[in-house]
This record gives sequence, C-alpha cells and structure tokens, in this order.
Amino acid sequence: MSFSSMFPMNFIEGQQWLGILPLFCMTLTAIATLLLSALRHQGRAVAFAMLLIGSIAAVASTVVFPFQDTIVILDGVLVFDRLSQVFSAICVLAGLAAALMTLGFDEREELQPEYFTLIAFAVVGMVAMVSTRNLVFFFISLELMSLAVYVLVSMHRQSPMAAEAGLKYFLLGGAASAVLLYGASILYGATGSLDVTGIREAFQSQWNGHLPLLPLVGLGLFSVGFLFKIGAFPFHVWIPDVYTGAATPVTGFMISAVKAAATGALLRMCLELFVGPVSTEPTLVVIISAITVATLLFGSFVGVRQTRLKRIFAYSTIVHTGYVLLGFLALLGGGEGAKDAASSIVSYTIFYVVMNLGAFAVLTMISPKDNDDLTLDQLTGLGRRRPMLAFAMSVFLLSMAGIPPTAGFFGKYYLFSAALSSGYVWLTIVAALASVVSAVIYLRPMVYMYMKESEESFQVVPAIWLGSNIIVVLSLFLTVMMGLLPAWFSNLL
Amino acid sequence: MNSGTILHILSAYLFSMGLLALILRRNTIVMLMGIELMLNAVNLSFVTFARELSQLNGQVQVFFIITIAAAESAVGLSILINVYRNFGSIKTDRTTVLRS
Repeated sequence: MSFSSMFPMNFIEGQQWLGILPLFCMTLTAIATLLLSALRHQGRAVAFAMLLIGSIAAVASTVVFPFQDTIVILDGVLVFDRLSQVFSAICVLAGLAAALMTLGFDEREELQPEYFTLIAFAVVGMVAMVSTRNLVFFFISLELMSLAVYVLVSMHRQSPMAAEAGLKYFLLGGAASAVLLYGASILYGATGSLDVTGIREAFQSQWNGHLPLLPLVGLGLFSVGFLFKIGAFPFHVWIPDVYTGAATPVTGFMISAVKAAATGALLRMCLELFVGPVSTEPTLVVIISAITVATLLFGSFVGVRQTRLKRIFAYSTIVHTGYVLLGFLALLGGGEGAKDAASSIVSYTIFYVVMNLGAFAVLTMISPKDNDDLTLDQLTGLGRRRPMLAFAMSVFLLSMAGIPPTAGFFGKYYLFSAALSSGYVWLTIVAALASVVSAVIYLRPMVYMYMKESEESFQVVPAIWLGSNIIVVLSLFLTVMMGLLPAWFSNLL
Repeated sequence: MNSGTILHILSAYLFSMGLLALILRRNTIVMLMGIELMLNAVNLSFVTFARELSQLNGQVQVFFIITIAAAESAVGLSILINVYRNFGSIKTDRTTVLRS
C-alpha cells in the first residue's frame, strides 16, 4: 500500500496551490522568524531578513499570478480571488513597512527580536481573514491577528503606558471577538450554515430577504466585532488610548495593516452577503447611517482639541473610518453604484495605508527615547531644523486632509461620488462638513512645524534610521504619484 | 420547555454573566475569566444549535474555539504580568496613566 493511498493529500491540488501561495509563504516566514529570532547574536537582523524575504515572496506570488476567477478550497474555508489578492498584498506590504521602520527604534527601546515574528503572525491572520467565507475560520484568523497585536502593543515593556494600552486592548478586543463569535453561532443556528454563501441562500430562500429577529440579532452581534476592529463610533473608545500607549511603529502597523485587513474582510462579507438580489433591510441602512454620522462628527470635533500627536492621528483614523463606512453604505444600496463603491473602498484603503505609514515613519524618527508620546510643542521649529522631514510630514498631513494634488483627495472623491450616485446626498454633505472640520486637525501640526518659534527645552533630535527614511521616501513618492495618476489604483478589483 | 430551549437560555445567561463580569469588576483576573465564560457560552450555543439541526459541522467548531480560548488566556495572563510589573497591581482603577 503506497503512502499516498494511506494519507490522501489531494484536498489541495493544481491551481489551488497558486491561490494559497501568499498564505503559505507568510506562514513559513512566521515559523522561520520565530526560530531564527532565538539566535544569540544577530537574532534581530536575521529575523528581519527572513521577514523581508518571505513578504517579498508573498507579494510577488500575488503579482505574478493575478487571477480573475475564484479559487475555492475546502468549500469556502479559503477563497482566493482578486479581492483577497489585493488586500493580502496591502497587508503584507504594510507589515513589511512597519518592520522596516522599526529598525533602529527596536534597539534603542530594547524591543525583543520576536517583534518581527509577531508581525509575521499578525500578517498571516490578516491574509487568512480577507480570504475566507467561513464564519468560524474568520474568527480564528481574526484572533490570530489580534493575539499577535495585543502582544505587540505591550511589547514596550519598560513603559507603563504600553502595559496599560495592552491591557485595555486585550480586554475590549477579547470581549468584541466573543460577541462576534456569538453572532456567528446565532447565524449558524438560524440558517444551518457557517458559510457566507449558504447563509445568503438561506436568507433568500427562507425569508425572501426580509429577515426575522433571530438572524438579525446574529448579524448585529457579528457586526459589533467588525465595528470594533475598524473603530466606528460606539466601539471606538479603545482607539485613542491604545494608539497613544503603543510604541510608535506598532501604532503605525495597527493604523495601517489592521485597519486595512478589517476593511477588506468587511468588504468581502458585505459583497457575499448583501449585494445583488437580496434587498438590504431599511432598518439596517438607518442604523449604519447613524453610526457613520456619529463616527464622522465625533472624530472630527473631538480630534480638533487634542494636543498629543498620536491622539491626533487616532481621532483622524476615526474620521477616516467614517468615510469608509459611507462607501459601505453606497455598497449596500446595491444597483449600479455597488461596483464603483467596492473599488472606491479598495483605492481609499490603499491611499490611507500609504499616507499613514509615511506619517508614522516620520513620527518614529522624531520620537524621544523612552517616552514616545509626542506633543505638538515638540514639533516646533522642525521645519527649520529638518526641512526635508517636515516637508514629507506636511505632504502626508495635506493628503489626509484631502488637498487636491495628493492621494487623499482622490480617495475621498471616489468615496463621495459613489455615495452620491447611490443617493446618500445628506450623508455626503455631513462627510464634507466633517472633512472641513478635520482639516483643522491636520493643519495644526503644520502651524507648529513652520510658524512657531522653537524653544530649546522642547526640541527633539530626530534619529537617522535607514529603514524609516526608506519608508518616508517611498510613501512620499507614492502619495504624490497616486495623486497624479489615481486611475492606476482605482480599478484594481 | 424542551431541553434545546433550556440550553439556549443557559448559554445566553452565561454569555451575559461573562459580559457583566467584564463590565462591572475591577479585578483583571475576573475580567479574563469573564472573557473565557463568554467563549464557553458560545461553545454551548454551537453544540445546541448543531444538535437541533442534526449536523456535525457545528459541534466540530467547538474544538477550534477551545484552542483559541486557551491561547487567549495565555496571552492575557502574560499581559497581566506585564501590567503587575509596571503598576504593582492588577486592578483596573490603578492603571490610569493614559487618561491624564
């Protein structure tokens, strides 16, 4: 009796290997970095080199083998299509960028070399998260990502702020994922399927799109977990504290990669569950509209009053979540606008990730030792002392504010026009209002950098780290290029 | 009342008790136990639904969830040790440096 007949391994075959390749690369990388980071000398450098190689291999496999049709493994436990390829590439690259901007910072702040392992495992979770239809597998990959990020937040061990941030994130995140799982269980009980396509069929065949209470409760609990991860209004409370307490590159990782992965997974769930023949519940639309308005207004009006830089970016990311939710509303509206809405969410996520990574690379370089909670005062005079760094920071801030020749403007423009074509005129007006108010958030650091007299006591000496510099230059280039050629990035789906 | 309904009520009750422990208590060990209680309530709910639907699928998921719960409590306890080293206490009313 041959080996292959005793252990049939044919559940993955042929083209399915191509689909699973990025996930496979990142999993191998994660395990290899875990082993290599234990080396006594140079563990940090070797682990980073391994992460670099694995990430490049994973991204290359999505670029070399782009596919238009869907590859399904194990009845939808893993699904690989254009959406999962694009978001996998975003998450892998954002994880690599976060690792790159940590070089130098991790030695100064004595972070353990397992930092890179945790980033690799978080990225594995993200890649799995954006390519699954199964609710329980989604929960598993969400936890794989979250558990790694909880540890990353607490990794700055000599700082009490990081310890507190880690504790808060762990307790609230654990509760949110338990609620999400309970929602999955109720959806399973109501429809008899853990697979999103099966749930959709049950919605159509059993209730013809008008849902009774049980599946609605399940959907609601399931969405709570999502809204927590992307930081929408009633579930945003952790964002300012956790983003302030975590080490600056870790905040950069959370603000870009974790957000992008949650957005990608939410986009997949919405596309597979609602878009198409199933009519969206009117109450659902009302609830999401209310959440969107609250998120936009809360983020912009509270963000204006902040004086600590990482808190400013935390509130700015709440506003950005509001814009993305506007895109999701347009998506749920269905019809002709849905396809546009999906690609506008994708392009917005790409623009958002690039400009936030750039801004956090600058913040990493100017963060003082042992206390990287920068205030606005510490920015004074940066425009004179380090003109290039200040210029890069201004471009990122202008892009976040949505000033025309930058990426942020087009991201917002696509989202707003998708929302308008789906008929959400009032919501778009509220979003435009919020973007005017939140422009103040971004202009204040620029005023401090260029127009305030610097006092000796507040001055920070920027570090000169190669990795962070590379990220700043790359992000600057991409932000400007995406502003000039936005069409290249707007129809990736 | 059949046994399925009783089990659903029990799992919803356990879930709410876990959530309440998380909201009301100040001791982080008890809050950690609250999260575990919530996950176990979900396990019970999965098994009950699977029995009502006479599927094996829902029962198998419980093994995955138990694994995740174990990993989560390991990470949680190490985060608590880190908090204790920095603050000398694991009560949430002591960990307030971020609010200042």
